Amino acid sequence: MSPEHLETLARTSLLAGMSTEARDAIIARCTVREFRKNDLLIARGDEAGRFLLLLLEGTAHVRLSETDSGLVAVLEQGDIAGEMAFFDPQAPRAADVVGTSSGAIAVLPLEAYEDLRSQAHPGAAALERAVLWRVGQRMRDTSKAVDDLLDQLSQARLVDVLAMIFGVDES
Amino acid sequence: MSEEHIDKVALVRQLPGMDDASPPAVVALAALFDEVDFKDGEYICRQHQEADALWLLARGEVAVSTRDVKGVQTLLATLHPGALFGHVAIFGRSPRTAAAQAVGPVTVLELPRSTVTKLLAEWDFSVASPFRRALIVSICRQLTRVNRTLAELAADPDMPGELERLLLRILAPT
Repeated sequence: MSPEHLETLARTSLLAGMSTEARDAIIARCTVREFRKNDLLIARGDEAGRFLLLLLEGTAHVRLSETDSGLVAVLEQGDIAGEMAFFDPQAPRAADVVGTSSGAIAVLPLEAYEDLRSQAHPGAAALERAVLWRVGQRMRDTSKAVDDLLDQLSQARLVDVLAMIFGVDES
Repeated sequence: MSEEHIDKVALVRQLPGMDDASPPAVVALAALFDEVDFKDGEYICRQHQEADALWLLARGEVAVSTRDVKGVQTLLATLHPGALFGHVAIFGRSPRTAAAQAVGPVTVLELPRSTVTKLLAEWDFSVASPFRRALIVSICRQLTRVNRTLAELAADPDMPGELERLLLRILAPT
């Protein structure tokens, strides 16, 4: 890993708040991959090679499909992707992650995290806490945005759809 | 407390992400939850209230609803035993975005915020790690479902242009 990538990785918001021991353990297990525009960084439905992706340089899109409405997130420096399949063994890759510029990603393989976990290493605990905070924040932001939308609109049909959005498994 | 026996360990073990937790860790985690009963119509939490606990539904059904600025109430979901709820707001010190109300007699397993905070930060790894993973998986599944539905909604050809733009902005904030 180049000194520049090392510094960028250590300063990302995911890792910056961790203890030195935890951060160093995670960084030591990451590899860096460079990518170009339109490169597929994560493929939807892919069962193999589970890893957590951290964007170091450039930008990428998270897509459920090729249409405009399939775009579910725009990734920038410090953002993560792949956390669902990383922490949930039953979850297939739900979306494609595609480079929208040239850039670089840090990749933490699932096996590396499992190794830290088997040792009850502070790096595993710190990673879980950091990812939990991230996904919680993302869920709150989405809920707030949908809530604001609900306040702006009064179509009966939209209300039904919002109930569907937030509905849980009824089984 | 209700007369019916609630198997706290079984309820905690079925949470997503708990698959590889050791039996003693599941027992230790289950012991942290308090059993609380609610009567039909009682609120477990109200919208805009400070988030002070999360819950695991043990018995009965819970209606999750929201009320807009005009006071119109919308039922968002009906929860069934095994559902984890109230966990998203608890981390960000953000107010509840929806209310949860008992439908018939309800028993929940309650974990106060103070316990959640300690559990996430300083508890024994064998207990805390499965709990953190359960929360991550729960939130990710919820987020995936919301994103998928919003994307389907935005792709609907009957969707008015302005609404489509708002939905796309929620999906991919820039």
